[in-house]
Amino acid sequence: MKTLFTGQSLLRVDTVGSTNSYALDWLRENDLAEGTVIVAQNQAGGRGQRGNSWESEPGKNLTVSFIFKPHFLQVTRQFDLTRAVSLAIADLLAVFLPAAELKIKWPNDILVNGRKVCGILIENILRDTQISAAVVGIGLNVNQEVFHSAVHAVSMKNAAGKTFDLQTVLESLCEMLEARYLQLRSGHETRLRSDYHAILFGMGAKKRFNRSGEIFEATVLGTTDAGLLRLAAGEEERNFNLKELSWI
Amino acid sequence: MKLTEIQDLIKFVAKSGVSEVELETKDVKIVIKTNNGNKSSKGDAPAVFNPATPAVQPVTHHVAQVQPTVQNTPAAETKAPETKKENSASADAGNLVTIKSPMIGTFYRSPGPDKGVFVNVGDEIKAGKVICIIEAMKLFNEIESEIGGRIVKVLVDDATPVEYDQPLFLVEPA
Repeated sequence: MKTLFTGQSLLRVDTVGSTNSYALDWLRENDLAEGTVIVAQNQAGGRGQRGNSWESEPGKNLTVSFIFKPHFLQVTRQFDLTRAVSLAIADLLAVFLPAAELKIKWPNDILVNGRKVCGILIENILRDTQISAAVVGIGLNVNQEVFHSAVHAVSMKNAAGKTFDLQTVLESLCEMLEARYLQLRSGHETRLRSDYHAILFGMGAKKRFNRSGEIFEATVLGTTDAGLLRLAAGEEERNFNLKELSWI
Repeated sequence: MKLTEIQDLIKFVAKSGVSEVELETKDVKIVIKTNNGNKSSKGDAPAVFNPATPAVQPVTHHVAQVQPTVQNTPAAETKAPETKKENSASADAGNLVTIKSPMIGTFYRSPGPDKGVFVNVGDEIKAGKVICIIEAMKLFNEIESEIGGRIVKVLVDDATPVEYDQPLFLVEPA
C-alpha cells in the first residue's frame, strides 16, 4: 500500500456487527495506531446513523472503518473531517468511474449519477474537549447489483458495467483518504472547503427543501465553515443545520 | 508489534464475539480464530507468536487458537449499594460538578434508539466513561466524563438540541 500510515495496520474482521462499533469498543479499552483499518469480511450488521441499517450483500462491497487521531482539529471545526472524507471518496470514484457524474449531497452523501453509492458514519471520541479518536466508517457499494431496501442506491458496478477488485479499491481508498486527511492536518481547510463546494450537489441552483412540513425553494449558496447549509430564498439568506430541514 | 499488543488483541477478540480476526501489518500477519462462531479450528496451535524482527524475514503467518475464557459478564454489574438518600444531591450542592456540552448539537443519552442509556442518575462512573453522544451534521461525538463520581442529575432530555457550554449532567465527584 502506497501510504504513510493509512492501512499499514489492517484488521480483517469476520464480524457480525459493524466495524465502527468494533473499533469504538476496542478504543475504549486499548489503543489503535492512527491509520488502522478494520475491514469486515461479511458484514451482517451494517449500521448507518442512529439505528439506520446499511444494506450490503456479503463479499460484494467495502464496509470498512478507519482510525484517525485528529487531536489538532477543533471540535467546532470537525465538519472539515466530513469534507475530507467525502472528497476522498469522490477522488476515488473519479479514478474508477471517470465517466460518471459525481456529487456530494450535503452533508455527506456521495452520489454517482444522482444515486447514493456510499454511506459515511463518523464517530468521534471526545476526551477533555479534544477529539482523541475519530472512527470513520465507510460503506461503499462496489459490486452489488440489486438493492432491495435502498431505492436510490447504486454501485460502482452499476455505473461502470464491470466488476471491481475489492482489494484494489480498498488500497486506493486508503491512499485517497490519507491524502485528504493530510491536507486537513496541514491546515489546508480552505482548499477542502472550496473542493467540497466545487462538487456540492445543487450548488448555485434552486432546490426544494422540507422544513418541518413546510416545503420551500431556495438557492444553495454553499456551507459555512462549521458545515451549516447556506440557502437564499428571495432576499433572505439563512444557514440551516441538518435537524432543521431535509432535501426533497 | 509488541507482545503486549498481541496479548491485548487476543483478549479483545475473545471478548468481542467475532469468530475470526486477521491482522496485517508491514512485517507480521496474524490470524486469530475463536470458537465463538461455529467454525472448526484448523489445529491446536498454541498461542505462540513470532513478531517479525528483521525486515528481510518473510511474512510470518500464525494461526492461534483462542479459547474465549472471558465470560459474558452478567447484566447485573456490581453496583455500589445505593444507600444515599434522595435528597443528598441538594444537600451536597456545593460539591457538585457540572459537565457541559463541548459543542452545539443534538444530545443523545444512548448509543442508539433501541439501546440502553449510557448513564442513569445514581450511577457511579469513572473518568473516561462515555456519558452521552452529541451529534451535529451527522458527526457523532461520544463524550467521555472528565471526572469520576456519581451522576446526580441529567439536565437535558434525550434527542434535544444543546448549545455550546450548556450544562448536561451534575456529578458528585468521587
